[in-house]
Amino acid sequence: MSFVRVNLITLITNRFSDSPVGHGRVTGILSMVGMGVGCFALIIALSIINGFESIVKSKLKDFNGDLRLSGFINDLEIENLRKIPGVISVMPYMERKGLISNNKDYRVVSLKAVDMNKFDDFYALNLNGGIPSEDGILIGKDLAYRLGKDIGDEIEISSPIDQSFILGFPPKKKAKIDGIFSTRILDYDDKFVFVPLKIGYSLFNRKSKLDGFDVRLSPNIDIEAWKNINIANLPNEISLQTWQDLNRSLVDAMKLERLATVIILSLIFLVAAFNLAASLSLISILKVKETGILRIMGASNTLVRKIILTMGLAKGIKGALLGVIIGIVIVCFQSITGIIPIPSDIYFTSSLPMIIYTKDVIIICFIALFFIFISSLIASQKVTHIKPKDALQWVK
Amino acid sequence: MLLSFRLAFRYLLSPEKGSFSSFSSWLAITGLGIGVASLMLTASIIHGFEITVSKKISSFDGIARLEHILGNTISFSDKKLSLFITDNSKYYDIHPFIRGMCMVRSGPNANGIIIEGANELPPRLSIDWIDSRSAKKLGQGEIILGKQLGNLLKIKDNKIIYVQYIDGTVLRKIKSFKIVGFYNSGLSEYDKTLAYIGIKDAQTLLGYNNDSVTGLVFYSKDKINQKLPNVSYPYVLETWYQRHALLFEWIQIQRWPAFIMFGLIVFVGIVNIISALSMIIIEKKAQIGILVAQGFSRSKIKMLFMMQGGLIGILGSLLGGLTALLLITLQLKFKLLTISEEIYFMDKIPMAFDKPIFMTILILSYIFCMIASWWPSKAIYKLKPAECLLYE
Repeated sequence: MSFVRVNLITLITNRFSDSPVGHGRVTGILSMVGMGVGCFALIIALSIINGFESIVKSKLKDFNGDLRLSGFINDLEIENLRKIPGVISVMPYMERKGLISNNKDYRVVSLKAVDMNKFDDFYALNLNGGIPSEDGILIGKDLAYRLGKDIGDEIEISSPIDQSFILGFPPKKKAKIDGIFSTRILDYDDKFVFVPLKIGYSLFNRKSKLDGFDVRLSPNIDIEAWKNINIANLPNEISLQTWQDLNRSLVDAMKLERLATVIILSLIFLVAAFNLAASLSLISILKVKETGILRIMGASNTLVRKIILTMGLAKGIKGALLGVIIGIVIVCFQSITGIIPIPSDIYFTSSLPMIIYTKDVIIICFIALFFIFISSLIASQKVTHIKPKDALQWVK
Repeated sequence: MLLSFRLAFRYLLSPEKGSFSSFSSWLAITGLGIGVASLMLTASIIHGFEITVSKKISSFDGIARLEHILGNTISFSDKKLSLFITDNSKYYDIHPFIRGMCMVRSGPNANGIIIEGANELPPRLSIDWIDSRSAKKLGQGEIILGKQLGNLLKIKDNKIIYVQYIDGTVLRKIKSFKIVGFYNSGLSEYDKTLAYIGIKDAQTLLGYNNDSVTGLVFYSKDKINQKLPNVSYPYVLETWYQRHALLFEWIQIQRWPAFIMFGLIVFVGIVNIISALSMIIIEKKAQIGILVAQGFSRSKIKMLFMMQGGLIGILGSLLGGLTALLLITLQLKFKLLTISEEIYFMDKIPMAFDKPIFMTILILSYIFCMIASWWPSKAIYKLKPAECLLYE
C-alpha cells in the first residue's frame, strides 16, 4: 500500500510541475536559481575563509610549534619529553625583549634563543642561508631590509633588561647573520631574531634557566585532545598551551568571521525561499481544479500537502545541488590552477587560496534544506485551505 | 497611464484575502529589501571602518608631519622653517615633537617603546588622568602610557617607571618618570608602543639641543580641508594617509569581494521580481484577456506590469534602506555589536552613513528592477484574449 502511495505522490508531483505551460516552467527554474546561487555563494565564501585560515594556521604553527610548555620547568628533561607518545620534536627556548643594532640604527626585537642543532627538525621556515653554528643568528626579512643587512653581515645584539644598574653597560654580543627567514605573518618578520642557546645564556644574565619548551606533535594527532590527556601528568606549576591558546584572540576572530559570513549569506537562502514559496503557491492556485478532483476522489488533505511538499523539495534540492556542484568545481579548479590572483604585497600569497571541507558542504546543504523545507511546508499548508467543493465550483 | 498605474497599485495592494498577486509581490518586496539592507550595511561597515581607522590614526599623527628628509633633527633657528611656520599657523596648530626609541622598565618587566615628547598632547586623544586635571599638558618627569602597554608592564597607578634611551652604542641616560595617566585609543599598535612625555624631558633624555626637535606635527584648526602647503628641501611633509597607505589599499581591495557577495542577495531578490511578475501575469491571465478584449493596447498592459515591477522596486529599496538606516542608527547609539579590539583596531562594529554609496545602491537596485520587470512582461504579447477567457 505504502509503495503505491509513494508512487502516486511522485507521479502527480511530476505532472504538476511539468504541465504549467510557458512561464510556469520559467518560475520553477527561477526558484531553483535562487537556491543554487545561495549554495554557490556560501561554498565560495567558506572556501576562501578556509583557505586563508589554513595558511595562517600553518604559518603560526610552523613558527611556534604545536604546543608550549612553560612555567616552572626545572625538573623536565628533554629526553623524557621526547618519550611521550605523539611528540616528534622538542625545542628548548629562552625569550627576551632585546635590541639589534647596526651602528646607529637599532630596533627593539624579541630575541628567541633556541637549540640550533634541532632547528631544522623543529621549524619549517622559509629560510635563506644556513642554520647558524657558533655565534650566528637568524633574522626576519623585514628586519633585514630595515637594517640594510644581508646574509654574512655582522650585527650587534644586546639585552638592556639584563644590564645591572651599577655597571651601566647592557650585555651585548657581536653576531653574524647566517640566515634570513620570511614568514609573512603578523609582524614576525620584523619582530623575531633567533639566536643560539649559548648566546642566550650569556646575554640574558638575569635568567639562568630556560623559559620553556616548544613541542611539535606528529601531524595526524588532535592537538587539543593530546593536551587534555597530558596536562594531567604535569605538575600544576607548569602550563601547557596549544598554539590556539597562544593566539586566542586571532583564533576567536576567525571563528566569528566565519559565523558572520554563514549567517549573512544564509539571507540568500531566505530570499530564495520566498521565491520558492511563491512559485509553489502559484502552482497550487493553477492546479486548484485538479486538487479539487483529487480531494473528491478520496485523496486526503495530507496527500495533497505531500504533493506540494515533494514538489518544493525536488525543485529546491535540484537547485541547491547544482549550486554546490558548480561551487566545488570552481574551488577545485582554483586550487589546482591558481588562476584567480590577489595582490601579493598585501596578502601573503599571490593566488586566491580556496579549500572546502566535507563538513562545510554538509552544513551548507543542511541550511539550504532547512529553508527549502520550511518554505515548501508553508506553501503546502496554504493548499489545504482550498475546499474541494469551492475548487470545482467554477469548472463547467 | 493613470489607469495602468491604478491597476498596478491594485494588484499590489489587493483587498481580496489570500490574493496571490499581492502575496507574491510582498514576498518579492521583502526579498529585495533584505538584499538592499544587507548591501547597505556592508557599505556602511566598510566606510565606518575606514573612518574609524582614519580618525584614530590622524588623532595620533595629526594631519601631517614635517620632518627632515634624512631623518636628521630640525632646528628652529633655520629661517626658512620659522617663516614657514608663521605663514601656516593661521590654518593649522603646529607643534614641535621629538620621537625616539626607548626601553621602559618597571620592576622585572621591560619593553621597547617609542617615546614622543610634545608640548601639547594630541587634542582628540582620550586620556584617563590619574589625578583629575583638565589641561592636556605634561609637567616635568611625567609620562602617559597606552593602556595596553600598562598591562604589558603590569603597572598599577602612580608608579614610577624608568625610561632609558637606546641608540645602540653605549648607554646614554636613564630617567625616572611618574605615570600620570593612561590613554586608550583602541589601535593596539599604538597602545602597546607609544608613550608621551613633555618636550623638555624628551630633549634631555634623547640628547637634543634646546631649539632642535624631530619634526613638526600639524593639527587642523577648523573642519575645512585646507590644502596642505608645499615645503622645500630638506624638509618633507607626510600626511597620515601616506604613512599608512598600505592599510587603506587593503580596505579598498577588501570592499569589492564583499560587495559582490552581498550583491548576490540583491541578485536573488531581483530574480524573485522576475518570477513574481511572471506568476502574476499567469494568474491574471483572465483579467488581461478582458482588458485586451475591451481594447486596451498591449503595450499599455505591458506598461502596467512594468509599473508593478517598479513599485516593487521602490518599496523594496525603501524597506531595505529604512531597515539599514534603523540598524545603523541603533548600532551607533547603543553599540550593540562588539568585536575584539586586539585584532580589529576597534571595540565595536563600526558603521557610518556613506551617502553616495547608499544612493548608488538604491538607484541601481531600482534600475535593475525595471530591467527585470521588462522581461516577463513580454509574455503579454503572446496572450490571446479568446484563450485567456476560455475556461473562466
